[in-house]
Amino acid sequence: MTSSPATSSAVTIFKAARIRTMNPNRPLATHVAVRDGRILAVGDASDCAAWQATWDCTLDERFAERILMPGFVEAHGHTMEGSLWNNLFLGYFKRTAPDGHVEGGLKSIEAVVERLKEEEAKLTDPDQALVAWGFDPIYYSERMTRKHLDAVSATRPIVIMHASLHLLNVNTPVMERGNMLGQSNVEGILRDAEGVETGELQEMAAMNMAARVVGEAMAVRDVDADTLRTYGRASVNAGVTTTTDLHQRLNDDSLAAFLAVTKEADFPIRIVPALGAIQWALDEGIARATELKTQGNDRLYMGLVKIMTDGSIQGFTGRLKWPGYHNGAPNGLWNVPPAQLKAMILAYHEAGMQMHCHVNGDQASEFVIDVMEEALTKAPRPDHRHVLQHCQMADRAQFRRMKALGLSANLFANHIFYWGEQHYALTMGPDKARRMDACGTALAEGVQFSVHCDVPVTPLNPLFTAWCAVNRLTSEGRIMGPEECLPVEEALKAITIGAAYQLKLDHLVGSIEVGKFADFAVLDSDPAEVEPMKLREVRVLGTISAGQWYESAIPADQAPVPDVTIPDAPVPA
Amino acid sequence: MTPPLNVAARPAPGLIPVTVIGGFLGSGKTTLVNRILGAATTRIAVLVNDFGDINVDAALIRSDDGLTLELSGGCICCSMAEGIGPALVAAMEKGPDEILIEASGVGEPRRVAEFALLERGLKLDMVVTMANAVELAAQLDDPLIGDTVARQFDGADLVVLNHVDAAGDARLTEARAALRRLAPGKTVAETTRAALPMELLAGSTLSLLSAPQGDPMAHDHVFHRYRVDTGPLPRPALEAALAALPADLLRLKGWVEIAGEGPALLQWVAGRWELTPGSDAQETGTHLVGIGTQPDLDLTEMLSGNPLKAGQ
Repeated sequence: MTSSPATSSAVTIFKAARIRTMNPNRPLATHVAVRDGRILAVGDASDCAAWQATWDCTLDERFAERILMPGFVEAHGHTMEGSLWNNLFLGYFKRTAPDGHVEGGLKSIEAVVERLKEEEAKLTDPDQALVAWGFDPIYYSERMTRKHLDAVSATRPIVIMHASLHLLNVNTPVMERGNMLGQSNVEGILRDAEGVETGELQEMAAMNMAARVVGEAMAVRDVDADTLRTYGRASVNAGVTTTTDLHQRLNDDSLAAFLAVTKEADFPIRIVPALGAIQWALDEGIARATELKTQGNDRLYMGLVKIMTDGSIQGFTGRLKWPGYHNGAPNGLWNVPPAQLKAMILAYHEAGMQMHCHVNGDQASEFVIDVMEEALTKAPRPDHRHVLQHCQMADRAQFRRMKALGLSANLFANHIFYWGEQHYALTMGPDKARRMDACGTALAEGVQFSVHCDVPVTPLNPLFTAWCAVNRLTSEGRIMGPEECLPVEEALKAITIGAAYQLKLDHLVGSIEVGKFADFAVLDSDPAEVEPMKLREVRVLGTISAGQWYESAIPADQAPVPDVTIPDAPVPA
Repeated sequence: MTPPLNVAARPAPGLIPVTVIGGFLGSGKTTLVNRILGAATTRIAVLVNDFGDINVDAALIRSDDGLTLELSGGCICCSMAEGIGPALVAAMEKGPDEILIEASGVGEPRRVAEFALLERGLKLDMVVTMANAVELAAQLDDPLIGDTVARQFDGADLVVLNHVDAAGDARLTEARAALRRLAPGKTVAETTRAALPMELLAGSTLSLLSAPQGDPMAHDHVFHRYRVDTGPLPRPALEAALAALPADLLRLKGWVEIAGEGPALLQWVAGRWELTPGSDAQETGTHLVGIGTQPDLDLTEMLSGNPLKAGQ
């Protein structure tokens, strides 16, 4: 670890009401001593007196009434969140922007249109496109059409990206400029019963054309410094001090951005990008991943490889085993042919890489388990720590195989709140929906696991993710599969040391113990002590990263988001 | 031997024809792309998937003329990222006469074709889906990929059943039966090493019309060539006839003299057609050539307004 000789003697002691260390050897403490950004000692008031007698130190009592925990670790997020907020958020549920203000919570199409009108009125250049994101038609009884958007502006291009990122809504100017009216052969341009284009676009071709019409606002770019800085601010608000960026091309430009920003004195997070294997030809990808392992610093850790297999459950593109989707939708999509995925996984495994494999449906998770079994039989490797990401539909038998093979699972607990009702009614049906994101099974079968948000798909907020795993409450107040509920203590492990393990950083972060980085979440109450249903209401005041304080941008009096209606008597289902 | 018709090589200025070649891994897409490139007399830009277990495909095609563009894998979770759109724009900037897109092994060719339908500078020429005669039946039975393979035949103008030499009778019979089910009514060409008549695939007008007519070809048992030489045709009857032509007529091109209007260039591909008024025809009357699979197709009769009688 780097340490500046000039500061090597300065010790800061943080005093807290309670320090929940997540270190089983000393679960609770009140004082933590920090030197050079690392934890020098953990103890209580009497320990502190001894430290003060020994070291030249400062006692910092700013957090004397607060709870400290290890900074939370998000093992499945995307820094894209840092650039999406350049556009208007139109979510059904409220969500906090990186600058701390709350957006969304739009409960009717009318409310969506009103919010768009407000934003449109602020634009001065008549040609500037209005781009929004996070709109999710699944919650509304009425379908948004271009008539709604033409009422916002009949001249300025408007594009609304859906939360699934599989569809767009556009207004008539976009249809016209994109040559999309009267194109009867293009199925990606949706039509109403009379054959009139509704302004909903799906599939790459039509969506690509809409993106071309609005130009810069929707241009696909690699990660840049501003995006990373904004993502850093969002992380502080959520108590996150270590995060993945789980799919990046990691070409020279994006690597340069990562290297530059992580060296900035006030960058508040440690970041673990994963090389997106499908963005490289196999040989080149392995060569690149190997080269990347030599890069990094205290705030940047390279070496993860992301393997994309199937799509998403709510987009009906996840790959399912029999009997498939509950509503009879056809089976989902592979990103690349399974034979090529297999060759890819075998090759990256043999090259010594740690893989995080995106698997949503149970056919995808079974496929990866099969391939991993072959890889580990051909080329046994201790402590490989390959992770099945999302792993939403794995059943008990698959978890047992994962245990046998030493595979970890990172479960998408936020899905239960955001789309649980849709899984119950449409995608999975009641029985399979009850065992989605099976934290309880993972725990019972001894599979190492974490829980995640997949930001920007759902908001970055590990305490909310833990709340989801603990309570399994849907947006309608249904407890979906109470047998899979996680004890609070286990959920807190999952968002700290459990996630750190999956990033091979558990020797550096994820608990408050001597020698690790001084990365803390500063909370107003103890998550282990509050009522489990109130876990989401625990307030994050900010983070300490490498001993340095970063204050949350969220105002103290702001109600927690998302806006959850908790019924008096939740219905177990 | 009939002399070639005299038709301009670039009939519709600015509109670049696009051919989409799809099919599962191992069906012979790259072989076909290479055949087309090898036989080309025009500048063809090609979009290939530079991805896979071994990067053979792109290596085979890669040339130094700057007309080969590689598609890297985009994530289906965010369809906007990467992919065909930007590569097509880059290809168009190079001013090619035609564009070939090799869809990915799990891609759905009809979805790829939508790019050509939407892009103002492009027109969709033909959607070809290839199948591996050796593997097809087993692929369709494989729960991992069966539905993916089956979907690729939706929207195909031409199905190519390749590797028939290696399939053996039993597998070939199974593959033929599967295609009758998956691609009902579609033209199926059986090939070895993707050997198709090149004028069938080339989107630019010159190649079909200048090809020697009536030469003995390896595919004469599958493909038949037609010629129409007749007088002026009234527009309403002509348009009705064009809309009613059978889809197994894969391609029809040439000059039509429209009664009371003058000459127009006709380009008809598997049911999609356009008439472009033009004045540089050297001769009057209607002169068309076509290629398809029906042995006895009386196009003259059909175009003159007797669709019921023809093709029976």
